[in-house]
Amino acid sequence: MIERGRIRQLVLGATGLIITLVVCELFIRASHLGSVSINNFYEDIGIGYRKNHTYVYFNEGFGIGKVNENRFLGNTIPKIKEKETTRFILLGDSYIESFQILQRNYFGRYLEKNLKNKHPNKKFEVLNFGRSGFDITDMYTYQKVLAESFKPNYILYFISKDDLEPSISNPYRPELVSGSDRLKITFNYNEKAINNYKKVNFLTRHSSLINMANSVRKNLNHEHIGAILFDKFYIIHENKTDNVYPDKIIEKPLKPIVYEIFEELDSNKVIIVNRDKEKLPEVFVNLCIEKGFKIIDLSNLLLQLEAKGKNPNYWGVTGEMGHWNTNAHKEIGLGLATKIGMMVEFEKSGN
Amino acid sequence: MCSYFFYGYWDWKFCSLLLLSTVIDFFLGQLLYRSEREKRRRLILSLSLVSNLGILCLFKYFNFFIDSFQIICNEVGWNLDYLHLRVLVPVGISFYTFQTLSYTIDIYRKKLEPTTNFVDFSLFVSFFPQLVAGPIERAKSLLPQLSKKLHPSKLQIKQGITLIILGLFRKVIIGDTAGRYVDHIFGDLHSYKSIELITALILFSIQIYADFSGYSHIARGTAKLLGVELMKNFEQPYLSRNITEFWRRWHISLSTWLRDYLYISLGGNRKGKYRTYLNLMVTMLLGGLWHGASWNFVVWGGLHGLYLFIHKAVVKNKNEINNSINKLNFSTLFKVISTYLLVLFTWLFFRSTSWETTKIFFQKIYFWEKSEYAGLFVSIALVYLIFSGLFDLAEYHYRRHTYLLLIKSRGLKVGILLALFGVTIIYMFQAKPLPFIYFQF
Repeated sequence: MIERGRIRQLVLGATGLIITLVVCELFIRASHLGSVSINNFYEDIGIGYRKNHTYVYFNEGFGIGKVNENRFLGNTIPKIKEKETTRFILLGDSYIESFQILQRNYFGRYLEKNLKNKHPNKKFEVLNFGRSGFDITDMYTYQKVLAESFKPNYILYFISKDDLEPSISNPYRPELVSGSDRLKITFNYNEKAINNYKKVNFLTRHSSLINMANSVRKNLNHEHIGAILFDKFYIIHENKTDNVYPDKIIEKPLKPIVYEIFEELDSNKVIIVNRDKEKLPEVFVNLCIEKGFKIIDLSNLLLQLEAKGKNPNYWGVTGEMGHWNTNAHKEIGLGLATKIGMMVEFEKSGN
Repeated sequence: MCSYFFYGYWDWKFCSLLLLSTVIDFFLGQLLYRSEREKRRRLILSLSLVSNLGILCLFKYFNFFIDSFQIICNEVGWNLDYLHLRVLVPVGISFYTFQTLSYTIDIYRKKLEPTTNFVDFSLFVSFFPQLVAGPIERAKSLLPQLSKKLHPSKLQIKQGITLIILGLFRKVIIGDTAGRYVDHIFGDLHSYKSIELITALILFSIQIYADFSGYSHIARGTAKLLGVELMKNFEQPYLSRNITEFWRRWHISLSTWLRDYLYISLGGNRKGKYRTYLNLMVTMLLGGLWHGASWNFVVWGGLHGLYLFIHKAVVKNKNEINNSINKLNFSTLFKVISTYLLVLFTWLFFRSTSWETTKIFFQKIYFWEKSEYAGLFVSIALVYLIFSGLFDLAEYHYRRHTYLLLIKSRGLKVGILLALFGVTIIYMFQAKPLPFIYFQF
């Protein structure tokens, strides 16, 4: 009798737990306080955005946007563009992805709008293929596997100096390898890693709570749990490596794959944009000039904003430093429109 | 000691201010009780009022008065910047100041005998569950409890745990998450469209309620774990049918304090119709100012004063104020929604950090801008209203905050509470919690 009673209570307890979690899940989804995973695995591009997915994102900023049918950010655009349309593709990392602001306020929209204002008789389209964590090899690979199919007139590579140090290959993305005479993109995914990812992704795609719990797991790997629980009572002792030459900027040589990428890229189509306050390494700039690539340097614009007291990376609402803020996006869009507009006109005039 | 440690964790220097208030009112309370002559009693009470309100005004309102005076001085070219004090407003100063004042005023009114135990009185002033954001307790209710040995009953422990979990869920999952939208939108109104601003205002009404009522639940729950009963601070205010009822359900400890120690002291409703309305308006204006050293809070209080004044002038059926909702019909629904909308309008002034913000808000509503995210924002607002409303409806229906304890099955109760707690903890570990709004007061 006692045993039955305990079992009954356990069953009721589990029922109460599940029903409450389901109700919470519904609230979390509907209010977008947490979201399901925005990613999915595709054979052709590796981990990419889920099609037709609307996201609400909170970090240093607040972003709302959507992923279209073709798995990049923004409204669905036909692959074949209208006549007389100049199509720009943006490649880069999380700065270009721009999850921190409303999609209507990201710099690509300002770029498109301002190009149209400056050249009312022309049509322009700006497509955002930015992805968080992308370096130059990822950008090139993404261009080849996805972006190029949209037949852009121009491709803007938004690069910072860190992007020129390609990281360890990602098991969830196609890999760029040096071939005998040209670069090759291989789709030899790590099967075990992909299967594990798919299992976790199945859960995180269908449940916000599980996705949040997954974020907690990742946070706990990076942050000290003591700091989260005990706040200023917890002192983190970190080993800091002394920089022996703190004032000396050491320019490393470019990795061979960077040279190979620039052999493959079309200098008539690709525009290199320095998206950082720091200048790009001289060796890279020289490579671009040598190969005939146009370069737009945003560092002066960003530093000017900072000098005016409008730090482009400072978010007033959260008091955090991070990606470009709303004002910076507007200024960058304006600045790019001016410079690109001149380049386009310059070329069309045949000078 | 624990209470002082709790307070000192924020900034140990302000413990001295807390101690000063405690010492002043402890000894003045003794003196007041022993004095027979009315003139002397008034003098001692005045000393208590001046010292407590003086400290409050110095830390909280001095710069506000200087800035307000500066507007006039600008006309004659005087600059008063040098007079600005660079001080932080001590956390909870508005709350514990009112609490100690209620002690001395009750002694003056001969409604209370002072305690002779300084430790008990110190604990009354600094009791950590309610020190920083209320409820503002009365000595008559709290002191006797603190004077005895604290021994919680089994029921109090169950109620305490339930209140803490429900309060934490409300504060974090409803309040904090709504607050994220509010902060971003109000922080940059220019970047948002009309429906998005309205959603932010609705979410602010949810945020401030969930945040403060959640905190009050946690305070009451923590006190219950120590065997102490604190007063309820909220009774489903957004289910009110009129503004008078709203003020009997919203921040009850403050509204009753203002009624008992300000409104009644000014004469209440004993000096004729027009004097009643004046007393009401003064009380609400000062009540608004209590929330913050800024004119927007005064406007907020003034609007509520106006609402109350109009309601008092026109209401015929005073029984309606006292009766609960027994039937849900169109008339009741209309009244509840109307009251909510009236209160919602005042929240704009409470939230706006400047007149510029308020002006932009009105401009964006007047010159309506369509939003491609209209459906999304409307659904978010509705979801928050419905979800928050469900908690209130449960409390209203069962006439208690610990309605979950009415569930007979222990397993079911534990399962529900574990789920609520688990969700809260998951969220807290993957996002930074926002500070309690009422901590700034």
